[in-house]
Amino acid sequence: MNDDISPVLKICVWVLLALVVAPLVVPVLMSVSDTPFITFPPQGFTTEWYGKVLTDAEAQGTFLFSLKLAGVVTLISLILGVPCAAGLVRYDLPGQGLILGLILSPLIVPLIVIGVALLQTFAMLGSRATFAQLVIGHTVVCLPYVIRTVSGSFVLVNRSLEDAASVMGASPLTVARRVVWPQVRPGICAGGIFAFIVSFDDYPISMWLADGRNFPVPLFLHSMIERSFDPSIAAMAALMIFFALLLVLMIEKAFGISLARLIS
Amino acid sequence: MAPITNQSRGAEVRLTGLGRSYGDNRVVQSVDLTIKGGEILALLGPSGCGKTTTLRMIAGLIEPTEGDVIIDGRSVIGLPVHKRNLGMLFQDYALFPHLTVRENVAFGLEMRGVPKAEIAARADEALRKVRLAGFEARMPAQLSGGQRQRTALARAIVYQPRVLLLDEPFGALDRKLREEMQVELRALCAELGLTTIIVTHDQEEALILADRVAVMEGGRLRQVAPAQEIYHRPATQFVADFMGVTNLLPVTVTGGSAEGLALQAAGVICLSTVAPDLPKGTKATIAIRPESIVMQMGESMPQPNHVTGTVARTAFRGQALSVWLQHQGGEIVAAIPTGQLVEMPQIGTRWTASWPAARTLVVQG
Repeated sequence: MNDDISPVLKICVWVLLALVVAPLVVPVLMSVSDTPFITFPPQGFTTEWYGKVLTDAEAQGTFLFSLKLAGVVTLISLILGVPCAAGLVRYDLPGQGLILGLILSPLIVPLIVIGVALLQTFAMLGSRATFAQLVIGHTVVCLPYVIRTVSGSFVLVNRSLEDAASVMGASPLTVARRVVWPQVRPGICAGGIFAFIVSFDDYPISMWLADGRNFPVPLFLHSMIERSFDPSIAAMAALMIFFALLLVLMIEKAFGISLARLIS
Repeated sequence: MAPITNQSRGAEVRLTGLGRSYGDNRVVQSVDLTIKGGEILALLGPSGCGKTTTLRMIAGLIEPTEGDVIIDGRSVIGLPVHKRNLGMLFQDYALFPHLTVRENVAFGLEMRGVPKAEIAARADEALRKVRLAGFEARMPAQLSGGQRQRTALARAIVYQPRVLLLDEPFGALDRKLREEMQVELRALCAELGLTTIIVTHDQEEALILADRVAVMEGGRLRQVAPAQEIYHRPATQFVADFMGVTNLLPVTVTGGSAEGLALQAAGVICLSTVAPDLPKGTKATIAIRPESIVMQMGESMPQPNHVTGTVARTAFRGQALSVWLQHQGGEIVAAIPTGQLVEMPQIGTRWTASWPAARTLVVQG
């Protein structure tokens, strides 16, 4: 497709891709090993471990809990993030840089620090609402991803289309629905899916805030590693990888081209 | 949304003391202008002169900080853009990329609550008017620049707006296509009888399209006149310069007579029959179009509107040859039609430039 890309760059890209993908391949391979303990390279082939994980009541419960948590977090992140991103792009506000910096800071501060800080705050407040605490903690971490992708899509919005629509008689609400929404939809969907994945995969925040009844998948995985060391752990990890991959493929399928524009 | 029922054509637009400031920066000030119903007016000026701001204030996309916009006898200040019932053509056409050509054109009708069956018929009718029948189902990305422009035009006229606003409508087209579209647009506007306001920085385009031309500079109107008059009788030095008069000589009035007004420039005595009656000693500027100048080889007797000099340089422009003549008072440029060129003026040779008193314009400033 792009013949004018230098071979050096091509090699760099492939090396980088290999470094990113290789660690993900390992648990997938280990998960089909026909041995009672984790080995690499895998020996034999079995799907028994997947069966074990998928039928395990505890695993199912924790999976459903993570789905619920990530769903709520995604919803709240979008409700807060979309207007915030739109406002930051469209208006010249005093302290704009500061606001953006504060919102994006969870990307810089170690998550474990954020988790412990939240725990202390909640403890000081005497809060016992574990689910709400998890939602707040995850939203803090997911919001930067939403703001980043959504503000990117707002920057790309062609303002003269809005002017054209209003001159032709469209009310501000109609302009938002018919003209702005189709342009920012890919960014909002992508932001939502990122938020979902980040929340679903989060360990360092959940570690501080979860309890026995509010127990997300990554914590369950960790406790399983401590209890036993059979390939069902690898199967579980592989399932998480597949799940995230599926979500990413979904956005790629739906908005492939527009996303490429968004990232570049 | 309240339906827009007003379908009258060719509304009168009146601007009174219109202005817009950003802080201390007065982008547009004290614009007084009346555009008659059905008239085509060009707002002409260099970039940054405030012409687009003025157009956007009429559209309602920018709120004026002073003055009033009156359409059809009623002030539209405070009336939101979408209730003004105007049509506008944007510089980048602003077609909706996710809608087909027909859907783009239908948008304004849809906003007006026109029944579905009628929408399709009227959209197709508008597309026929701009000679784009057969392209209804295309997406904007599949159109050429000219076709996009036609789509945008159809979209702006389909609901019979009270006023049609065009913002640099031909800026993105190549020269040949531009000329074609200009003639077509002129005919279409005449056919529809729409009041049309065109913003442009191209003086030729303004002259081709408009009944009247309003020249703007530094946020103010400098001259408003019919196309012919603004070409032949620019009022100020700026307008003259902008309308392509390159010979501007500072002069002093030496006296009036039955023959005309006598003026003294550096190295040249000028006589004008088209000057206002100015008292002796007044400082003014004379403006002579390069194409008004006749060139003859050799010296001449001292007489008004004749100057002898040496050819400094020449430039071939296809239709005309530009000749710069260096005389004792400065430089003067003539454009000789190539078709009438008998002898090529050689650099360094002596030639005489002359021009009629009826083409010796006296302008302010």
